[in-house]
Amino acid sequence: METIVFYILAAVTLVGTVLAITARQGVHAIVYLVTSFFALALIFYLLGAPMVASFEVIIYAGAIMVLFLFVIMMLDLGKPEKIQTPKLYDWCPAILLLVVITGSMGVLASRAATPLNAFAGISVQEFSFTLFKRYGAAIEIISMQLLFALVGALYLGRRR
Amino acid sequence: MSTEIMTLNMGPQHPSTHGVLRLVVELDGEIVEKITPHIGYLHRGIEKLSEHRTYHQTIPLTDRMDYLAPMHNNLGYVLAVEKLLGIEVPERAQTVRVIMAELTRLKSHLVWIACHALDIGAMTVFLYAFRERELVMDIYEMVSGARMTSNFFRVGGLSKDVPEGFVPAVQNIVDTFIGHFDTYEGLLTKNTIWLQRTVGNGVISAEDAINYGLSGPPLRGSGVDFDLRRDEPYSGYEGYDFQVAVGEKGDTFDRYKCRLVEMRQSISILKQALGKLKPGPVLADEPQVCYPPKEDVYNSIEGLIHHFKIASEGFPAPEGEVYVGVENPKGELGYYLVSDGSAKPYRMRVRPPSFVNLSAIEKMAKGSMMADLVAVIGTLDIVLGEIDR
Amino acid sequence: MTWDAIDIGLMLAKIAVLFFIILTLAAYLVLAERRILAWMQDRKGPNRVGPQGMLQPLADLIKMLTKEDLIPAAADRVLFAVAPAMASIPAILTFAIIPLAAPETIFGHRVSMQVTDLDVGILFFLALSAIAVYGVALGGWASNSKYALLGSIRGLSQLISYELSMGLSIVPVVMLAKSLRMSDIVNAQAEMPFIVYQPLAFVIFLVSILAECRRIPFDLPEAEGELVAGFHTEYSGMRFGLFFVGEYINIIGLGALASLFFLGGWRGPLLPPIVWFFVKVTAFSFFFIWVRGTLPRLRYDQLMHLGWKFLTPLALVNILVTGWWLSLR
Repeated sequence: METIVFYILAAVTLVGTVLAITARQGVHAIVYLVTSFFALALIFYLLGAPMVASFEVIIYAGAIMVLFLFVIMMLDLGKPEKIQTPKLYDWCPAILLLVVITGSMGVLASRAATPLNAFAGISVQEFSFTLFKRYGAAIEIISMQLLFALVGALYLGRRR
Repeated sequence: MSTEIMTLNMGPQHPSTHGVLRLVVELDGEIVEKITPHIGYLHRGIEKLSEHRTYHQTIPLTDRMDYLAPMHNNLGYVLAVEKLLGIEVPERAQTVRVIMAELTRLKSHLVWIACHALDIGAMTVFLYAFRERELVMDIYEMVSGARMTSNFFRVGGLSKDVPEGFVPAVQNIVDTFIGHFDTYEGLLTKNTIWLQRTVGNGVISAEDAINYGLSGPPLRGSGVDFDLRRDEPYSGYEGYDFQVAVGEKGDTFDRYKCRLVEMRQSISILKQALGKLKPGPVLADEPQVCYPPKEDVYNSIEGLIHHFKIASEGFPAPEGEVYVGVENPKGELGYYLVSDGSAKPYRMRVRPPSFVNLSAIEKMAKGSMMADLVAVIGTLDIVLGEIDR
Repeated sequence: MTWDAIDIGLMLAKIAVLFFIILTLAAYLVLAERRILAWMQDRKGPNRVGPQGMLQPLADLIKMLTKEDLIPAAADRVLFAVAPAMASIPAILTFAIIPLAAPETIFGHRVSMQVTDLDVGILFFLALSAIAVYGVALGGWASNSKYALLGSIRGLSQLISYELSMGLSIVPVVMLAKSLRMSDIVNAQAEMPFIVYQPLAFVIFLVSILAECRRIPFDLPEAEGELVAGFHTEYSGMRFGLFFVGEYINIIGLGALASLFFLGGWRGPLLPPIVWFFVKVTAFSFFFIWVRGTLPRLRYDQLMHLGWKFLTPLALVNILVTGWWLSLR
């Protein structure tokens, strides 16, 4: 049961992401990306991490993508971007990426697959203790860094 | 960051453009950069039409201009014709005219406070004010038979005397309305959100207000003490004791306060006028100009001919030109009449207060937010029927 | 975890019953709002369809369904069609975590009166309110109308701003209950509802949910005086109906959550739990309507100031004070 759900979600994630990259219109790309975030969140839930799943939705789908959407909505009024036909060397990065992905897939596949744990949710308490007790200092440093970034962005935005 | 300017077409169908005003607004995000009013959607050519009508026949046209204050339009027009003819109006007619004019001011201001509050989101005040307005409408219906297009005043007086029950009805308004005004003030003046929205919004300085030719509450809100009822009294206003409300800063809140004080003063004028209301004729003794009493028309051949002659031919007015301004609820409503000696005016020109007040909209709302623009439209209290005519 | 047939059947039954309850409640909340507003404003309100207008929601539904479904020519057809669902589905999903009453034992089977008692209940709710933004934003954008676009931009910024203060105002509740699970939060209020300890958080939460529901004084995304109808200007028929019903479901849902977080949910003396819960939710709904009858609308920048410069810092300070108080205890 969980395996089937997982494969459906994985397919949605992948298709969503591909469509997000290839969509011509910014708003459509965001909708595809948000869809794939949802699927991703559910995958996290299946893996027994409901906390991560909720944060995936709250932060990525609910905050970051909304800000993207905000900007894109402000910019254009539904005029899709004109795309030039890609030249040969435009394909190089894509081919490179393909090689990397096939390579890593090969490496992963060659190993013996560790069986997935059955659904076992990690409680919020456990999660928080690990996060704030064991890695407390790191969390603080990262949040300070984010604060600096915030102030910096504000400064850069204000300067004009 | 450079941003794109968005052109937004507000109206003629828009909830807060008070009729068929069309504003082409250029917006930078939410900030209003430019406002271009487009008017004329309600143009009926009233000025031109009046050139082909006798002086009496124009009266019904005038109450279709500012349809929120019809009697005041009638009043300005009949005063202009009377000035042209040099007719004296009997005492009782003058007092009834003052009563109706002040009731009209209440009626117009009630619609103003209703729509202004609704534009800013206070829905309940809207319905309360319309509830009160209904009482004034009842009196309109009582005296003229119509709730809006009154056509009640005549050159030389009134079309007929006020019916029985008029005085108690006005007395009821005098007694109850102060309490209603307190309710509105309780809902608005004491409300922080209302203060935030109106204080400092749509500011216009006294100098600018004069330069734009503003009149009425938009002028007085900026601190200019000018009221035609006191400064150029007409229809016996010199005999009444009332204060002219004047603001200080010229923002929406000051104009709001001015109008509320005006409404309270109207009640005081009504009270005084009821005291002055003595029995007597309501039409000047000018057979050349005024219609005969209805009993004569129905019962005697002379009366019928008299009526027919005035109704079909009208009366010739002496050559000349007059200007009469009255203090309409919206501001100075002026009638300029040119007569070539015939029974029809050679030219009638109306100075509509809303038209002139509307011209200041860009001055008042430029650089503020979209929501402020809506508040400014509300505070200008425009009526498109009068702007387009 | 074993799922037997009874559990699945029970779950489906719960969902069906809940669906019926919230849709009926939302429909009658619309009627109640119209009647109560009319009563406050000294007029009659809808009273023609059925006794006291009780069948008005049905008539409205028929009207909505039979109206022409207009799609503007220049609209983004797919997003335009999907956006109303995006707006109303999160509102409905919120009810999955709301316990309506105390767990009951039926035929020796312990049945909790909620669809699912998630470990991360509050986060689930926050996630749903975060997604609810998309319906407003995409609906307005897809209409390809300037009023709708302005409305949806306003809606976007308003919803994400007030989500913050809303989320922060629940943190003290979580600190007191020591759990994100709904049933734990209700149980933690067995002795005393949290409003007693957290009046400030309650007020912040209340103001924030007013803004989340886009109600007066925060109805800027659909301010009819300025933006005609805001983000749903171009919608008609049942698509508009979905936005509309979604808003009312949201009112009920957020009212239910407010009573769960601060008023002890279904707890109360004498009356059965479900009645208590219903009374509390109704009280919140009435409060929403009352506010609509009283207050004017804020301006966009004032709304942002209130959210970012007042409510959010206040909520943060409240969290700090609560933490300090808890550490002393």
